Amino acid sequence: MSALPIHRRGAGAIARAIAGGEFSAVEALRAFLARIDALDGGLRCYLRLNPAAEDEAAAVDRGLRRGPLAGVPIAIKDNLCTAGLETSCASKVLAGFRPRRDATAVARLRGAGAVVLGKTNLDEFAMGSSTENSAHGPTRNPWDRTRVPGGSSGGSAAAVAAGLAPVALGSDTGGSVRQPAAFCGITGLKPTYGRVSRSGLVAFGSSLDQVGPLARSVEDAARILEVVAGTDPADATSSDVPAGGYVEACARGAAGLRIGLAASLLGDGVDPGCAAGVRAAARALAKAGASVEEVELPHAAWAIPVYYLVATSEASSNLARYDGVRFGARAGDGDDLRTMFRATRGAGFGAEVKRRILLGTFALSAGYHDAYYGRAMRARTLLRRDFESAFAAGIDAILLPTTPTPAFPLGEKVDDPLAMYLSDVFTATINLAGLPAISVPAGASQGLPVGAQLVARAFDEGTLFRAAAAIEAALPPAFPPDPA
Amino acid sequence: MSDTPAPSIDAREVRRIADLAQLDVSDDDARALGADLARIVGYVRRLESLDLSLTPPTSHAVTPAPAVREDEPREGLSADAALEGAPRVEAGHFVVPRVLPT
Repeated sequence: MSALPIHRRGAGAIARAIAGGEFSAVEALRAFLARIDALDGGLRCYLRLNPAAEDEAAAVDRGLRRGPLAGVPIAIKDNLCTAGLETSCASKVLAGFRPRRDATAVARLRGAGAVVLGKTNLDEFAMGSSTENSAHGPTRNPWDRTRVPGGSSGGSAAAVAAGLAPVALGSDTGGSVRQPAAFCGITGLKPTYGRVSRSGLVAFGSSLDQVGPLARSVEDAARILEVVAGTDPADATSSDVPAGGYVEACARGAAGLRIGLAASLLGDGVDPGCAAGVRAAARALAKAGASVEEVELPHAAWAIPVYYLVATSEASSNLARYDGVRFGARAGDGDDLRTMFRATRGAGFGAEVKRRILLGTFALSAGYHDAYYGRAMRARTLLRRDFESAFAAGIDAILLPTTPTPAFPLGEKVDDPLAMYLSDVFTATINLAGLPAISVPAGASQGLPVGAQLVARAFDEGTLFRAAAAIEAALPPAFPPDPA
Repeated sequence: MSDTPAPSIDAREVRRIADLAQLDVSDDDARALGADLARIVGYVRRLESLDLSLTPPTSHAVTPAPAVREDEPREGLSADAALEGAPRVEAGHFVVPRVLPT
């Protein structure tokens, strides 16, 4: 029997302990609720807890709910719909919105027996890299509460890192799972575009968005993907390429893989500790029997201008639906329709969301469309081809930093949108290429965790798990100290 | 793009864009947003230095499976369910302010 307290155990260990009768699903849930009660006042990972969680856990204990995750508590980013449980996207414009249905990914987790703990904080509509752009205030990094947890899935990442949930779901449009995973010292996966259904994920950038897991181990991330992956008739962009075998892949080892180290991205502008983490990950892979050679991604520096044109253009279209008619809050009701639309949106959206709607509207507007949006779409092809060339040459996975720096102080970039955008420089390019990528802990820089990132061919998440598990074995992640 | 003049994003231009986006912005916000947008647009204009004349655009990097299904009716939301989140509802309808200004 393990001596580890429940909140330090992962999803697989908790499922096994419940199945083996070591503790019940209700006891597992209560262990996390007690932990949330003790620590979430300082961290603010959760926007709200699920009032039905205890009933859902009790149903597991009575044998009414079964599956590979039976009784495993899970935190859900608050831009994924949960039936009957408010889903606000940390925005005033959606305050009080109770979806009729679960997002497909949430429904699949529940179908596997998981218990939804609650909804986690995020940058409003997933627009940000620090979880500071939330109508509910920022989440704090469990490694240093004066620093950001990253974003936009910062609530999910901080909750998993601090043991306030064993695993969580996030969404990743330009790095929003991987960057906070790196900042909080955990594993985060952005699956291939089309791998996980987005039905019930509140849309931000529809050619980029993916749902992905955050976990304290590579194997738990695989375990969650195993449940949520696969085609869904409710999402026309979901793929019918067969999914699965991810947990097995974690045990297969990295021997024989050809790893391409993007060495030219480890120099200027990258924190030496982040670069050292990536080099340590490369050594771990070599020791595990992979071959490591250098690759070039010649257009990597163009990722941010392309990303912030494509993502904001798509966002300006997606967010047109928040107009005070069908759901959410309304302002300016006594006036005419157009005035009501404008007042509702003006009062409901925060500053960063307005900035992005305006940038996207500008990039798509008559006279500027070809010069901005059109040009970004062409440059996107060059970014995609960088990866295609490496994979065509036989590389199985490309290794690069997740972020250029470790977690930055709260408030440091919040008034400087461009500086904030640049923290996505190594992640956004992979969303533009549609490829799967994982961030895995790779040591620390000045006491703060850093991540190493791996990118693979479309739908080859198995290779990511093989390589990430080898890095994890050599550089085991740490658990943040509880506050005194 | 090189033949497109650099836009100056002053408060008036912010208002023009905000009008297209159906978004109220205060005078203070218009000034601050204009300054932010001018910086961001200045930054993204570095794409002008890439020769993209022969490069086709990418809209979806991974081509989705052809999304066709049998044309069969499926159950949707009931009217009551569709209306339950709306700020104002009357007699089975969404209620909005008058469409034409007086």
